[in-house]
Amino acid sequence: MNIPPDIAREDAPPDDGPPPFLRRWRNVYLALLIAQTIIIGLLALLTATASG
Amino acid sequence: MGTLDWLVLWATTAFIVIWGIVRYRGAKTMDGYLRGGSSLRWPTIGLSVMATQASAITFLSVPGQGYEDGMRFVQFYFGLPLAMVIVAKVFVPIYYRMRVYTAYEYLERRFDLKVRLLGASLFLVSRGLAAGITIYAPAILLSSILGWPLYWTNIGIGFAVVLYTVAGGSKAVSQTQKQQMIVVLAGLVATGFVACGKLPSGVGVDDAVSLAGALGRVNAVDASFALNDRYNLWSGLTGGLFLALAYFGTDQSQVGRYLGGRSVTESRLGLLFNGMFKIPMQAGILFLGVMVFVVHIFVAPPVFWNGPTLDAARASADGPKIALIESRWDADVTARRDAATAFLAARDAGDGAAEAVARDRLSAAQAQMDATRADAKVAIAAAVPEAETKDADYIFLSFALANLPAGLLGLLVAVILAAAMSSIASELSALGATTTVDYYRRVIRPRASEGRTLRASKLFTVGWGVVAVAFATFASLLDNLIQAVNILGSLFYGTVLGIFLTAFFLQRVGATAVFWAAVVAEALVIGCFAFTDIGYLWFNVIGCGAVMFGALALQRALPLKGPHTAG
Repeated sequence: MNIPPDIAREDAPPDDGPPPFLRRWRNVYLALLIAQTIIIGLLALLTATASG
Repeated sequence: MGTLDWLVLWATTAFIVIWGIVRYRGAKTMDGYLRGGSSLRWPTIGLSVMATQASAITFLSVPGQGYEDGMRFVQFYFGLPLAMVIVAKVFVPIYYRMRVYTAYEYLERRFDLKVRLLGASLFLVSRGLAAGITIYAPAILLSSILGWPLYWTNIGIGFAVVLYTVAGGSKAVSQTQKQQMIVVLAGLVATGFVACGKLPSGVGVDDAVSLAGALGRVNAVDASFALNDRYNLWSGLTGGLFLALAYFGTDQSQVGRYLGGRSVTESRLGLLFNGMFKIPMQAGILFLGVMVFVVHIFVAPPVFWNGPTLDAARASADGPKIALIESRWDADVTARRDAATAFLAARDAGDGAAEAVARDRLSAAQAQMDATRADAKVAIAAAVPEAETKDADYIFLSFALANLPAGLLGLLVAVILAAAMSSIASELSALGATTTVDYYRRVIRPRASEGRTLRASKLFTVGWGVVAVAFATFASLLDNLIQAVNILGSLFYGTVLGIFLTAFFLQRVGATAVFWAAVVAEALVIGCFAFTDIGYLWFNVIGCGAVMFGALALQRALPLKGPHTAG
């Protein structure tokens, strides 16, 4: 990431990490994307079923 | 509206406004006023982000869209979850690290002042205009359907919002939005139950879905690709992603919401909360519109949904012509109802051949109704030349007026007002903050004291409130209102997003290259809007791509200065 060092201040609020049961942010992001893919899949299924 | 409805409406609205003023008044510092003292937790941020995007237009226009066009508008949101992940991962930590009040402050630190002012100006123009539509949309509908005077409805909504936004600043905006969103969701769920309850006996929700599907209303996912098709899977995943990235990553009305978080974690979780629930919420609202459509297969709908305009056409010299069309319409309604009954009977009997025949008959009946309705619109336009013939935004409110029980109608109008106020509050707060931070404190009065800057910020918020109300007063009904807002945003968002993505990812590009690339990209997007029929979601991709590729090409081709020496 292109952040000049003179403007990356140290007094910013901390990133104290994701909820413990998800351990890492990457897991949180993946969980969200998988859940949304399932929702879009269900909408596609609804479309296909209702259209006969 | 009855006494109970008025009581519910006033109690709900007054409680939120007074609570916002009393509980959060008196922010003494710029940080307290503009960022809420960085104290918000993720549920407040998440609901506040949702409430900012979901304006009254969402709750009036989207069910109408579902009724007329089916569920395909939901594809507009398919890129949003990925955008939330990118904003949470990339944008949030950068803004926090730099302790910025507005997203555009970052642009000066990365590029120079002119790029910052360009970004801030694009925001002020697009959001300033959109704020007018945000007030106007509910005001025009409430005044038309309930007989409220339009002028005073505009002023009343604007005044209430300015009052608590100026009194309590960003924190009051976020906290009132949390309550407004709860009212909105409760109102929608209640209306959904009422709509399903209005289906005739013997017609269940599954039958309703089949009927809607046979008439092309359950079209939530369309995998075919066409550049001039506004909503399909691909425009949603690509254009929708870019639009959501620009809106949540660079539009101050959203950036201001999550910058008030207690930490990076709270802001990230708030955004991901939005990413989780946005598609289901929009699908639910569109489905509500589809259910209203199915109810009106069995309960005769009017040929034109804007009642006062229809009455004016009936009373005009062309009245007999309108009456003729209305009698044709009555016959069409009966034909469609009979076809629907035959379709459901064939389906229940498991007779595939009869079902296919009935489906064709149903489609033909619907086509006949569509033709009659188109004729009615032409006749109404001739009879009442100043009338607006796009009536989709009136469908939901008309349904509510005719069908909701006492008390619930008041709650629904409170929902509309709450949703309007929550979006306008974010917009005015962001417009005031950007004018203060990016212009007043940076260019006009760099040496002003904290107290003076705070007073200026409140004055700017009031000023933008006046501009928005003035624009709302003089605006006329635009296309479908939610599309008007999104088209307006798409004209500017791609360019702004391109500037930010260049800042984040193209380290070699300097200020002058990105500035001129952005100017050319904006001209290109406006040219595409004026001279082509490309679907508007693609403008976000075109604008963003033009800035990034243009900036790279300019940086390589011309002897421009590097990123940290430019200026």
